[in-house]
This record gives sequence, C-alpha cells and structure tokens, in this order.
Amino acid sequence: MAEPLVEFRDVTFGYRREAVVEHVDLAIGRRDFLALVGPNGGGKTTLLRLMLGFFPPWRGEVVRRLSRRRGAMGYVPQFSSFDRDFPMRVESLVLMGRLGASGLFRPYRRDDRLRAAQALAKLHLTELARLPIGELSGGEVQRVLIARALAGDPEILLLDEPTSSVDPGSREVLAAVLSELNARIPVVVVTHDISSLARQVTRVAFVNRTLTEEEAPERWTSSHRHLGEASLPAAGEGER
Amino acid sequence: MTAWHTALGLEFVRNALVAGLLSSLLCGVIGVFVVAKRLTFISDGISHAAFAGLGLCFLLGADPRLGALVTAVLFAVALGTLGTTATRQHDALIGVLYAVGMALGIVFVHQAPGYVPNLMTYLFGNLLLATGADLRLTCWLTALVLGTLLVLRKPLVAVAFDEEFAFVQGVPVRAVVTTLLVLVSLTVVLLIQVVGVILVLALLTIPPLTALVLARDLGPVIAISVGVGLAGTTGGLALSYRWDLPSGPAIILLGAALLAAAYLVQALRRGARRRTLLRSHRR
Repeated sequence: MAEPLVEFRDVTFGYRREAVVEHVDLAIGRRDFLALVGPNGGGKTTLLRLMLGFFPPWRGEVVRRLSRRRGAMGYVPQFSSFDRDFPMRVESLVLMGRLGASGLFRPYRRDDRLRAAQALAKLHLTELARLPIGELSGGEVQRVLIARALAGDPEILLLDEPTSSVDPGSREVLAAVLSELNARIPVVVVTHDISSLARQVTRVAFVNRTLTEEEAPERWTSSHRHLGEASLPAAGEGER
Repeated sequence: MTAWHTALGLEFVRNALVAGLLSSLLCGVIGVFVVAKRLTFISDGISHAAFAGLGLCFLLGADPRLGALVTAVLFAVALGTLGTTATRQHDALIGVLYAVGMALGIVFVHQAPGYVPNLMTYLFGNLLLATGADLRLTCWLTALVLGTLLVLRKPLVAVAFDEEFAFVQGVPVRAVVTTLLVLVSLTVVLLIQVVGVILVLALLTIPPLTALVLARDLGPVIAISVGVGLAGTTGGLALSYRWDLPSGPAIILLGAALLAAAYLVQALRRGARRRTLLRSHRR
C-alpha cells in the first residue's frame, strides 16, 4: 500500500490545560473518503484543524506528505466562520482560493480567473457568479466554499460540516462533486449527519476524545445515523 | 458666489478644506477595513491609551506627539500579536486600557514642573486650525497608509473576510492584522491632532458604514466610502461657513444624514426585491 498522505502518530492536543483529543493514530490514504463523526466537543473539528496545521500537537506528530505549495490543502470551513454581510461577489470569493497559488502580493492572472471559473462551473454556480454572497441560500454558500477550495487545485480536501443547513438539491450536487473528486484526491468530512454522504464515504472514524475506526460504513450509517447528535456524552467543553 | 470666493481666499479655510479632503480619503479607505473587521472599539482604545505616552514625553521634555505615536504603535503591535478574536473577547480590558492610558497621561502632565499648556490642544485638534505643517504631515501619512494597503490588498482582504482560510492559503494572519492595527493607530493618533478626536472616529465609521449599506462589492464600497467622506467634509464646511456652525459637528451631522439616507435606500430596495421574489422564484 502506498504511503498515507496525512498521518497522525499518537497525537494528543487540547485547549488550555485539558486534552480534547488523546493518542490519536490515523492514516489517510490517497483514495480515502473519511467521515469523522462523534458528539459535539468530541474533537472532530480539532482533528481537522490539526491536519491543517493551525496548531502543533502537544504530543505525537502530524505528518503531511503533500507538496509544499500554498493551497495544497483544500479547506471548506464551517458555515459560520465568516461574515455573510462582507461586501464580496461569489466570483471574488472563489478567486480567493487562488490566493496562495498566485502569490500574496501579485495581482491575480488570467490562469487564476480561469481556474476559479472552472471551479464555479463544476459546482453549477456560473449563473450566480456576479451575486453578492449575502444573497445566497445556505446550500449555495456551501457550494461556493467548495468551489473556493477547488480553485486552489488541492491534493486533499477537508470539509467541516458541509451538509448542515443545505437543501436536498444542493446536497445531491455536493455528494456528486465530492464523489468525483474522490477519484483523484482524499476527502475528509466532519459531519453530524453521515446519511447524506452514505454512498460516498469509505471509512468512518468515531471521535470522542479518542478515535475509533468503524469498519463497515453501510452498517454504521443505517443503524446509527444520528449517533453523533445527542445520544453520547460530550467529552470536551463545546465545539472548537 | 462672492462670499464663497472670499472664503476660499482665506488661508485657514483652504487649509481646513485640504485637511478635510485628505482625512476623508485616508479614513474612507482604511475605515472600510476597521468597520468590516469590527475594530472600531480597539482603534478607539489604542488612540486613548496613547495619551499615557504623550504625558510621559511631556514630563521628560520630549515631543509629546512622538510619545503618543510610539505608545499607540506599541499597543497596536501587542493587540495584533494577541490576535483579533482574543482581543475582541477582552472587550472590557480595552475599556480599562482606554481609561488607564488617559489617567496616566494626566498624572504625568500634572507632575511636569512649570507652565502646563492646555493638553486639549495636543490631543484634540480642530480642522479650522490646521496649519501648513499639519497638511504636510497628513499628506505623508495618507501616502504611507494607502501605499501599504495597496501592497497588502490581497492578504488583507483575505484576512478581513476569513482568517482561517487565509491561514490555510499561507497568509501570515497575525502579521497582517498587526500591520492593519498599526496603520489604524497611526491614522487615528496623527489625525486627532489635525481634525480632532470626534471627527476622526466619525470619518472612520460613518462613510464606510454608509458604503457597506449601499454596495455589495469591495471596490465600490471603498469608492462610495471615500465619496461620502469627501461630500461630508466639503458640505459640512460649507454649511459651517454659511450658517456659522462649528465645523466638526456640521461635518458629522451631514455624514449622519447621508447614512440615514442610505438606510432608507436599502429599505426601499429590499421592499422592491421582496415583491419581485414573490413573483418569480429563483431555483
């Protein structure tokens, strides 16, 4: 088997003094579609942020075998991570996915605009390109965020709750695009509701301070589909 | 007409006009980032904390302006390093900083031997008293701040919009935020001495807010913000001359009227949009 693209080796990390995740071992291969599930405060988002390198782990290490270029990690943040009243059009937001690739101080080039336009087309957003982001529906915003991540031509895609506040129509587009992407790159999804991506997901990891891998996603999704939402006690203190 | 010609013949009127125009340009641009990134209170806190440095330099016999500038920049760097999220969470601490800075400044000045000039002249300028030296200073400041913003525009917009994504794209987020705070505090501290504290805060907030109500893209927002600032200052000065009103308040009240008009336009537009939406459903 080829070397995993991202690897956690006995990783422990927390905020302030309390560990949020402990002794996590995880290897993400090139064709994986990994769902991280678990209760609020269990550490799903924290794992995603460790992958992105927002902070170094307390103990253990996170190994990334990606090229060092900017934008190699595609990131789709949670819906609430930005201000929807910010004055920006859809096309400018997606172009921001080319920020690292085009250089922080140089103007965007034609190639950058082309790639942004392709990403928009892939998510069926071309018609909305000129709209201010404040006028989009929840599902449309989610697609715009994915388009932004794709514009950077990522080698792995990390998504934080991509299916919350999304209408069924957008959910289908989303599942189709992610599945197509997964033919080339690994996809990691933090989610409460695994049912909407049940057919795409190849691995499920249950995160509640420690990480437990579940072997058969089919069984998992049919019988425990809302496990993450309420039935388990939270380990940490609120989602980070 | 002749009355206006006479007015423009007066040096202090010309200086006031130029100082007002430069300040509107400067505040109109940087204010958009201050408002969009919710840094108003932080900027206000830094500018008042600067009073401590002003007082200390006064006591030591150095240039009080320099003291104010150095202190403001130090606080900007400290808060920037802390990060804006953490800083906004420490809202009350900024209030403390504000008060302690002012108090220290007053104590320092009080300890200074001999004649104590009216501190207010150091801290609070007046547009109508702007001198040639003030104008040169404002010119340099405007060039410095706008030049830096131009160079940093891509990372700055990214950080203003979404810090996490900016980080993933390789933007040094803390450094960009710190630079923005330093530019804002330079602007506030230097302009306070030219146009006065209340007018600086008004120019930093009213025009950008008006623009954010009216436009939905960053380019137009900045353009409208500068435009509203220019209209407010020239119009306010004209009102002040015509009806013998104090110039600062005239400018601020005219700006507030423009902001109110913008809200009205927004409300009318929303009504119209709702009617069209009811007629045709977007998919």
